[in-house]
Amino acid sequence: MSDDRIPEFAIVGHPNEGKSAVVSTLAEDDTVRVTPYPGETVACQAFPVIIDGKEIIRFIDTPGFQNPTKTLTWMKDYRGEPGNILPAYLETHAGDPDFRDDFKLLEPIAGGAGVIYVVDGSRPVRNVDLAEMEVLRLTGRPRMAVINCKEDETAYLETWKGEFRKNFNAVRVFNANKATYAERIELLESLKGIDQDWGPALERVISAFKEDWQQRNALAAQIICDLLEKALTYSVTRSFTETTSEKSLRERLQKEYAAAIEKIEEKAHQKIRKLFKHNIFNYSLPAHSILNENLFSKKTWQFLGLAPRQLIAAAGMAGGAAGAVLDIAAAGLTFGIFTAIGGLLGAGWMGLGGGKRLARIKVKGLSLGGEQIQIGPIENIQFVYVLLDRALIYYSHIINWAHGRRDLPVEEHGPKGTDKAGFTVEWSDTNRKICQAFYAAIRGSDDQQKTSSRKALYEMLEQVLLDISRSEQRYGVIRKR
Amino acid sequence: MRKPTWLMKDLIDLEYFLQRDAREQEESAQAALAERDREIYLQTIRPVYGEKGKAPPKQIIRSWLQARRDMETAAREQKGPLPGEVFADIYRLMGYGFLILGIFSGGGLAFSLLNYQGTEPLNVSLYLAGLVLSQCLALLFLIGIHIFRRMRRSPFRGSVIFTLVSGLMTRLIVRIKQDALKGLQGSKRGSLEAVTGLIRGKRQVYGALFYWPVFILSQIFGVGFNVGALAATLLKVVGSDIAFGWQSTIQFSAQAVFRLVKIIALPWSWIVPADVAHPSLSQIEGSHMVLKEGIYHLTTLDLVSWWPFLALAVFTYGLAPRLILLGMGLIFQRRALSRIDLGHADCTRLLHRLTTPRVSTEGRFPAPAGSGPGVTDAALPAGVPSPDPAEAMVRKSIVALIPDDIFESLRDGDLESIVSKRLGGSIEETFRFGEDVNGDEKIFREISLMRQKGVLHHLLIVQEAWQPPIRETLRFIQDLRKASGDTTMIWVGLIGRPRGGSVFTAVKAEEWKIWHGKLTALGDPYLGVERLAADE
Repeated sequence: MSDDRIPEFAIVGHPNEGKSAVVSTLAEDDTVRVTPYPGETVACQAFPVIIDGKEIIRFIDTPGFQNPTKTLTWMKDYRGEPGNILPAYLETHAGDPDFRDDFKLLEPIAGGAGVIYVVDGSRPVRNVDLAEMEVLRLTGRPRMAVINCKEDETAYLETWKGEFRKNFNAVRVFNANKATYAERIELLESLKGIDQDWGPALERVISAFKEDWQQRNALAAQIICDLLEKALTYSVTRSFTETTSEKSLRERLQKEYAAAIEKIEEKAHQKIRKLFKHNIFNYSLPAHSILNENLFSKKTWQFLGLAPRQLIAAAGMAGGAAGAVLDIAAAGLTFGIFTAIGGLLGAGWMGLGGGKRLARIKVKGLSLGGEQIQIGPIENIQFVYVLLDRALIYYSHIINWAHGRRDLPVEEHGPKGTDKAGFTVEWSDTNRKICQAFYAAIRGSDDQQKTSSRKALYEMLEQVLLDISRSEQRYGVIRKR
Repeated sequence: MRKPTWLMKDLIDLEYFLQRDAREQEESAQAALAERDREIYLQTIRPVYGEKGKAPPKQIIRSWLQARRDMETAAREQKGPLPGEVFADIYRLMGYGFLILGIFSGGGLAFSLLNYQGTEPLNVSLYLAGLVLSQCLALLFLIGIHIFRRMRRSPFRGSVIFTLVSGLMTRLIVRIKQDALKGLQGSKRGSLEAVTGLIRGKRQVYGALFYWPVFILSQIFGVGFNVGALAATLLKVVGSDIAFGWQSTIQFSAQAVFRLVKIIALPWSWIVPADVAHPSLSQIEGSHMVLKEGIYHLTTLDLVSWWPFLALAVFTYGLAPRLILLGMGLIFQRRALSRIDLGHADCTRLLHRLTTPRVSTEGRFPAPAGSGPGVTDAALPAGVPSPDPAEAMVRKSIVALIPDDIFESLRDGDLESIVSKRLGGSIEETFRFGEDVNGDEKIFREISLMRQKGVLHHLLIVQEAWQPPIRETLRFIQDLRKASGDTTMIWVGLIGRPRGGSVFTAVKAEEWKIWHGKLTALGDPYLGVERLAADE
């Protein structure tokens, strides 16, 4: 193969087997329409991988086979030069409306594309599938089979693998849980195996993908650090005179404060989304995600953050403002108790004694008569973990294109015996210490400490994000109780 | 029992009910339909026809329709009449409308042609051209097209004119209905629209049937037109004095004009006194206008001698043919209605629902027809009578096509019992298809042969519903249609994924939807889809 030739891979298969899902993973393009209706793809669509302005490889999404048996019969009856079989087929069937899809499907293969054949491994093997495999074998192109199990059924998996071993250079089981990053890298790795010539180009793509991913993770880690810093130091101050009652102002201010914090978080999440889903404007969260709850809702605090025992330890370690430890410990305990008795908590943090336990409220006199009321910053270390959990869950939703798939099992996570569904509850002491140091530093006045603790948090988050992108687990998904 | 007559509104209601029933895709809803229809059959149809043992399917369907209507009317008080009634109302309104429109346009035209100022006589040829010649040409055109079609043996449904006219009529119905019946509920308008659309789509079943209402309407207009023209002419003649004359740049002799007039008057000259039938030669000479000479030398008697001839011409060449065509239209419409076949998939399914006992005992199915008196009343739950001769009559023999993929997994008797339960027939012969293209072609040939011998009734293709309906499969069905003729019922029996050794498993709702949609899109009214699950 000459160097200026861009390696192409045609993703082919029977209609409705998940070709577009595989393309979407390989090309990291969520705009590919994935629907349960067969025949959604009617034209070939190219997905080029461009590195530094140069196209390195190209994936081609194709329509499904519509006439596998007839195509095979034609090929078997073909008596010409074997290497010429595809051009001859295309010439015979050009313009035949019945064979429109088959024509479009085989066209890129005739042009030299490698074959990625996708099947649904949860259904039995049928004659049409055997015909398709035989057709692909007769094309003589390098080919890999990808088994995409659309349902939990595994009874047919071995039969499929057996058939593929006869006809294909490589076989892979597509893992929808790992789409996109991890699965993409692994798919590309296996593609290297089907033809040596493509090795260098694929290698370049893989390393570029890895670097790109690291870069995006680094940016995401920065965004999360910024979010924590901003949310933890935020406060509102308002003057009031005798005409306005302190009580009503305080209530209004508390609402304002909560809204502002929520806004800060939302902005950070949007930034993360832009990093990974630049082509989707209306991203919607998975149906069972805890993120569908507000930041200050009862459920959020019940399912995210640290477990009660961890929280007491954390409060002890963090130190911070005098008197806060007690408050924090009490809050932690209160959460624990309420969680244990089934969540009799009122409506969110307001129910916790009107934010006294969560955010500092100060009333100070002003020189020109009148007084000022200040709300914030946050006094509860659990808030750090809740924010972190929410950001990380959001990240894990965002990087998986397969978030909307109904066939993925809904699992619960976290240590046994707790309700916690986030990441931080599973963290090591080292990670938690970094968080606590950050929490203490950011509220203090030592700039050097601030910088160093922020650096430590950033480095830790970078690793955490990478781990999440390689993990098969799904976090932040809770069952309705 | 008097043979029930079918009216256009009956067909519309029938299609309306069938369409509504077909919309129920869920298994449970289907079961409820089957129960309801069986109840109707046992309560109202069997007592009337059952004893005689020979109820023609059309009469069964007609009785079912009546029962459904009665049920519907009771439940519908608030919702207004059924689409058939609405159609009949609107059609009646349209009939009056066309008649009045015809009278006005005919009368208007005649009045404008008879606009006499007294300065010069009215030109007879203008009147003849406007009211007689134009109509004769229209008639000739109609007859010409008819003959042409007869020679080409092309049915109405293929013709551009029919498509145009029926499309126009449907649109007219919808338009008129919307304008005239604006006060009525939208749901009713919607249902009528749906039904007219459906009937347009079912030309293969109803053929030229829906041509006749259009034809009749246009004849009503024609009658109105001529009545209007005649009335206007007579009014003018009675109420004012009009002078008629003839003129020509080419110098025709009066003799030639007289001959022409005699020919035109042939149809009535033998019955009407000669002096009334047409003007005499001398009268024609006397009414010849030469404008440069003026008209004052012409005698009044000659100038007024033309009017009976003109009126008779309009009557003979305009009104009478329209009356005859109107009568023919009515007769042909009735004949077409009495000849409708009602053998398409929806009706076949309905008949099966009506005439097949509902069996709720699990694991036991009624034995297929022809297996003799093996089924006793004890095998059926209480209240469900044993199959009677009328039921046996509609049980058809079925040729089943089984895909190679599942042929080996079929257990003996499974298919028979399912088919008997779901389609109400027995398996006559089984083919194994999908091994290769040549094998399938051989099957087509054999089926074609069976059809020629007249032993082919129903076809059943077993199909795994989880496999998407690819082009190849749809083409197979179309090829099967070619081999089996236009009106052989072809059933596509859908099954789910094999489970626990059984192939007759439940079909997923979305897969059913996909297949139903694809097969409906083939536009074949004798193609039906059915689930072949053993038990829900």
